[in-house]
Amino acid sequence: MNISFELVASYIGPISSALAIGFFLFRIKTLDLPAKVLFCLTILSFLTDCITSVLAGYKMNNLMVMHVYTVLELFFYCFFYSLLFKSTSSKYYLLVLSLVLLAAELVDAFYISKLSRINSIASYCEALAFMVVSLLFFYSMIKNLPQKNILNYPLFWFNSGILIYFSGNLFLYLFISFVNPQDSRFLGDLWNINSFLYFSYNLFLIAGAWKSRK
Amino acid sequence: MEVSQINWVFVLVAACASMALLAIFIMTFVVHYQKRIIQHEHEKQQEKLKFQSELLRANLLVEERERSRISKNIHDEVGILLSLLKMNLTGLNRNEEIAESEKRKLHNLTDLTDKIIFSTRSIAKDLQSPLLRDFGFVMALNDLCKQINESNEMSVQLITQEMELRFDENIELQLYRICQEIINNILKHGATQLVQITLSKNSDELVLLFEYNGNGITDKEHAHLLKTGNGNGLKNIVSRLQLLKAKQTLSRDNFHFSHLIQIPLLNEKE
Repeated sequence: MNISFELVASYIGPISSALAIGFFLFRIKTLDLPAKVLFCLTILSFLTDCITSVLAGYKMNNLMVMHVYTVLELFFYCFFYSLLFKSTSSKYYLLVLSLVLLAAELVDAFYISKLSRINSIASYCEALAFMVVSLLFFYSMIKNLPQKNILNYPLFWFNSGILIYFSGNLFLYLFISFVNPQDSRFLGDLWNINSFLYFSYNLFLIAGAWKSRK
Repeated sequence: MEVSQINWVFVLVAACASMALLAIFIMTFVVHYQKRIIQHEHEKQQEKLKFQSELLRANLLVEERERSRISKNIHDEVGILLSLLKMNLTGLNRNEEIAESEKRKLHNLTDLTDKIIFSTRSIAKDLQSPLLRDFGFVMALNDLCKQINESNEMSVQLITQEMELRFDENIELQLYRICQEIINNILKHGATQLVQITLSKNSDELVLLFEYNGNGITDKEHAHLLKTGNGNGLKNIVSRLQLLKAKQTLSRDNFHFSHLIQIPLLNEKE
């Protein structure tokens, strides 16, 4: 029973990424720039999943790849939100945020967690930051009322996905920080929950891609 | 093993709770967003209506100014010239040197000039009633009824206790035009000999009731006429009623038709 759950959890992330990429490709002509940024990030995430799986197959430590992915991911999200927030000051704050998060990642990778371990501190800083940014975007949507029916607005779906994914991740990485690093079983379970969160995130991306109309 | 299992359950519960909270947040957001949209649409609609009402008011104001200008020009310029013409014709008529046959022609011309002067005065009066300006809507309406009665085409009876009633100049003008239009419609299509107009006022509204036997329309037919784009006069009435925030009811009982108009008497601030 437990084996099948782990099996599902290990495949659900890449499969849902592939599905999201498929939907993005299907709607490629109608995608606007923010959607294209998320499309590129999904491709990057899919490639990262493939590389980590190959490395895991060869019994090699794949967490270094995750450190690199986290850095790239935060730049993609900052760029994505800089396209959504129109004011110059918002773009400036996002640039500062990306630099702060980059610094947190570097400190975590080289001084705290090291490259061969899970970058939990940088990840929960990133999760917290993007959770706040996504909530701010919700506020901006309710203030500006961009569309008559919000459910037809692709950015609502993308933003909801980001909020759910990063809020879930925040809890997960907080747990990881307090768990004994030797307890590999528990760490594995947390990682599996992350896969399910990523799956739900991809479902939101699919909904957003489906609603994209030019 | 046991500790790990407890941790797992704890994480699962926490994850489920946080997901449920997020789901509630997103659902609340969607509901709140839709409420805001409805409110926004309502505000936009109100603004549009306000703008339309302002536009209508401006149009009617321009129309009335133009009527007033034409009426003044007719009275002051054409009227004087016609009077001079009549004076000259009368002078010529008294001339002994003119032959009798020519005098008859001159007499006919004088009669014709009289008719033109009368028509010109009627047009000027119709364009802007001096009685309306000086003595108010009820007196002007009473005068309008008298004029129609004198024409012998139809008898119009005004029943009211409010002869001294006065309103804002613009309101009086709108009320007068509405009455003019309704009476004109009855004259054209009503096929009737007698129209009774009842004017009454209570604490919060002014009521005007037109009653007659003959041909007429009901609310349903009125709506149909407006929808099909016929009836410019009806549209005119509707626009003016809209401006006064008044409502009208058209009904029939066999061949007895009634046209009820209720005008709310607003406070000065409103």
